[in-house]
Amino acid sequence: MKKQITTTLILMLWSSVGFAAETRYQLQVNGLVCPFCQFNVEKKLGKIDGVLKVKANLKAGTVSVLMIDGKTLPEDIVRQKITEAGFTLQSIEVDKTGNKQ
Amino acid sequence: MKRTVHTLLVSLFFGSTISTSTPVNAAPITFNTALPVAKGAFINREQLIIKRFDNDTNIANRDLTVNGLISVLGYGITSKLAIFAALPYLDKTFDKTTDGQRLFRLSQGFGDLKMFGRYTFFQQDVRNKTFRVAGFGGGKAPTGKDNETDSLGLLPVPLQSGTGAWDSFVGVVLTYQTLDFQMDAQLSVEKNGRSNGFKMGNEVRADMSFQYRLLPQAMHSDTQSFFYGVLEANLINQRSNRLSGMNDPNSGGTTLFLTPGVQYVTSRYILEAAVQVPVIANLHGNALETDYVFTTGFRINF
Repeated sequence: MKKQITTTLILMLWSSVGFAAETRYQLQVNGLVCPFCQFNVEKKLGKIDGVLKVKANLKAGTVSVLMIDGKTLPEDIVRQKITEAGFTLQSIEVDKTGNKQ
Repeated sequence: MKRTVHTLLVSLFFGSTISTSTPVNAAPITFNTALPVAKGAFINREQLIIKRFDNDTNIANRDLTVNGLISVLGYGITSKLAIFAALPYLDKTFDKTTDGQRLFRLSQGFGDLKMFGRYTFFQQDVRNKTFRVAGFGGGKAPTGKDNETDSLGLLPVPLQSGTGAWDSFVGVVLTYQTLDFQMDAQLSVEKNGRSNGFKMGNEVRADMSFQYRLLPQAMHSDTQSFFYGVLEANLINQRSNRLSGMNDPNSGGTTLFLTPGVQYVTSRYILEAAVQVPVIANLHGNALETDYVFTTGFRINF
């Protein structure tokens, strides 16, 4: 019984982590042109409540934002943070689900 | 002595390049007005600048070296408005032949504090490209010592660490940047104040900078650093200085510098180095010409 409970908890935890990894947003950020500017975008977005990881792709001009389980990424806050960093948010999309925010 | 003053006025003229040269992304090396700063973020640039004036054809065989350590701190008040302060520490050495003897004079100390604000009034961002236009303006406070003496008496103003005068300047800076290259252009006008009967000539300067990404040659999704080749041009025109109400005929003039350099750019810091070489020097009278200006330093984001 004890073993079953432990296994169930591990599976629940794994399931939770797996779900969190699914909540990934893809931002198209205009004006992102060099490594020095990606720092400010990553720093600003990283301060939003619920953000687990932020990664910019300079070549694609995109920023990937990974959220913790149950958290969403509000477009108005994202737009504000990117503007504060000195750039322009072109679009925001949720990976996998395809939901527009 | 007057000749010394005349000669050294030119050095101060180039000295002003030190303090104005600071700030949109990779940013130019020889001027500061294009430095990128996000809202609530700081940027710090430290530059070591070595200026040599040692190719004098005059019989006095004048030599001048100005070494400067320039600290620049910028802060983003909003995404469009940033403020900057630049404080130089200067080491100036001058020598010349007078009556068959070599005469040495030198000074060391903090120079005048330059402060300015920049407002970006036009910004157009598209994917992997940005174009920005900003206006800037500020002043220079006489924080540097302007009454240093040596065994020969009071040092001439250009050899002092500070000018003793309040100066002001305004300008406009444009930046266009893509993933492959960046171009910056700046136009500025500086009005210099008077102190102790001396007024340095007002200055108009046009600066351009072109930075081309040499490495990596091809971008990848995980590219985290750029290595740029840099070519800058600085066209500087200064009016004659005024000493005791009279124009100094051996001061001021026009100089065009070409400045090859390199920059290594990461997300947190930038390393840079450049050499300014005068290609056209149309100076008044027997003003001393610059041989070269070597600049190296780093910049950090925090």
